[in-house]
Amino acid sequence: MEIGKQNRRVQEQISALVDGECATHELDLALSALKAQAYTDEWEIYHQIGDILKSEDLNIGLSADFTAHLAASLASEPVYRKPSHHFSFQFSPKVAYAVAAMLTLATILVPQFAGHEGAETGAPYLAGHFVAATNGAQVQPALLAVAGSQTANARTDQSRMLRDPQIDGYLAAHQRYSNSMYSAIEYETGPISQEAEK
Amino acid sequence: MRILFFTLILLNAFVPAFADDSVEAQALLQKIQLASKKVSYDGTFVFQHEGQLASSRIIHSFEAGDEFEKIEKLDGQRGEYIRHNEDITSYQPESKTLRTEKRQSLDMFPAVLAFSAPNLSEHYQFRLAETARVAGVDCRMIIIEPKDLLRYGYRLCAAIPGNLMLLAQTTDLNSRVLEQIAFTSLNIGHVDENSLKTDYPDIAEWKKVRDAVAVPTESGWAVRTLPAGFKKMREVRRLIGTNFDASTSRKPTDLHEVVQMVFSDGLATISVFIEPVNGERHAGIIQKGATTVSGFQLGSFWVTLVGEVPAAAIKMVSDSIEYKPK
Repeated sequence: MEIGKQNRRVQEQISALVDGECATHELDLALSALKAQAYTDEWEIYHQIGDILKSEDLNIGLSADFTAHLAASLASEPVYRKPSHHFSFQFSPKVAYAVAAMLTLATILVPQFAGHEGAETGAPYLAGHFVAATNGAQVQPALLAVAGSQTANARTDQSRMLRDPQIDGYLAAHQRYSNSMYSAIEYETGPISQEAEK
Repeated sequence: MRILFFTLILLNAFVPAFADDSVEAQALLQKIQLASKKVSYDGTFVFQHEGQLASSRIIHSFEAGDEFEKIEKLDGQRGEYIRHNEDITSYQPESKTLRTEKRQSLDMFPAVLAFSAPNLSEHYQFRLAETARVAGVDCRMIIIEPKDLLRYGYRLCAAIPGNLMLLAQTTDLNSRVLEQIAFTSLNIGHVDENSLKTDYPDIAEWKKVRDAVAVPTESGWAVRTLPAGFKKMREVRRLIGTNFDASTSRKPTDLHEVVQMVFSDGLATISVFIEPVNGERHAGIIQKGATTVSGFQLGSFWVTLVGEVPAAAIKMVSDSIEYKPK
């Protein structure tokens, strides 16, 4: 007798859940009943009743493994994660602020006073010279070889561009040569190409 | 007749004065440049950019032709940067990383000198303003205003005497300050040799890395129309990678090669980066402080522009990028 009563109560709740009318405090009971698989028939039948009430055309039986199929497809959907917390355009405090300053103080007017060479004596191919003039033979960019038929959807979306963590890399590269206030702001985090000898 | 007379007097009084001002202001810029190298000082400065504030201590010494500098970050994660002439070493204690590189920003434009001095005043108006006071030191204010809409203005203050720059502001067309950097405390004169030493002498266990190099190139890419006065300073191939915070690996995972062209009018700089399209990117243009960044696809290439210039200048450059191999 008690079991029958309980049974009816659960059925009522599942029905209410299907109709979107299940009270919050009864939700747990209804969901756990469904999870236990004991009431999955009710769940499907109530939906079918609801569908038929809406329209005769919806009176179609679902294949037996419909639920399993749907679950499998959901599971194979890719997961989209939020971009990392690193907000590219906020110049978070880094060593570089310091560097920045020094470069500001020192180089905001670099061109006015340029004249030293040999800043890059450590790197022979940099040689501190203006490139175009010295490179007599034309150097085909490696880029072109790689540039295939790859295409991408370039969408204009400012906020998403803002979050593009790659922007940091470009800022850093730019600031290497710029005499802006935060020149070299990324000394701490710019690209590293080689590990120095120990 | 009388009005004309006065007008003539006024013109006589002000026009030459104005011209002299410009020459004097530009001369002062050179003195500032020299002072930044040859004056020894110990101070604290703040950098303000888009509502963010960061402060650092700087100790600079010039002894017998050798420049030494130590900068210590005072906010957030610890960090230290020590420079001896062109050799830079940065200490990142939190990630136990020691980074070495050659300074690139300064002395980077050997070709500039030829045009910068006369050309600067074609694109900027120079003015000496009233005396101001920064970090307890009197200074002379130089106002640099752009003559077109394609660049920003600057306000600099040079210490009296000594000409050390105490304040630098970048201003927009309405003279609104976009970003600034200024000393908050300063001692000019001899500095203690020991204060220039690193706080992290024990680095045996640290990771030692060297900065990525940029290799000169001639890619065939060109910019047809630049804002007046801008000239190409360099063209390099370099690696670009994403940054991470100190808690994770320091090695960028997505290093890729780009061509970088650098243009400057002597004060402002614009970089153009070009690479093959690889994956989905979001085109657009953003402005923060004095920096404008823009990205867009051009054929099968992705173009990124970065510059301390108004968006109008960035657009002008974006619209005239072309591939023209010789």
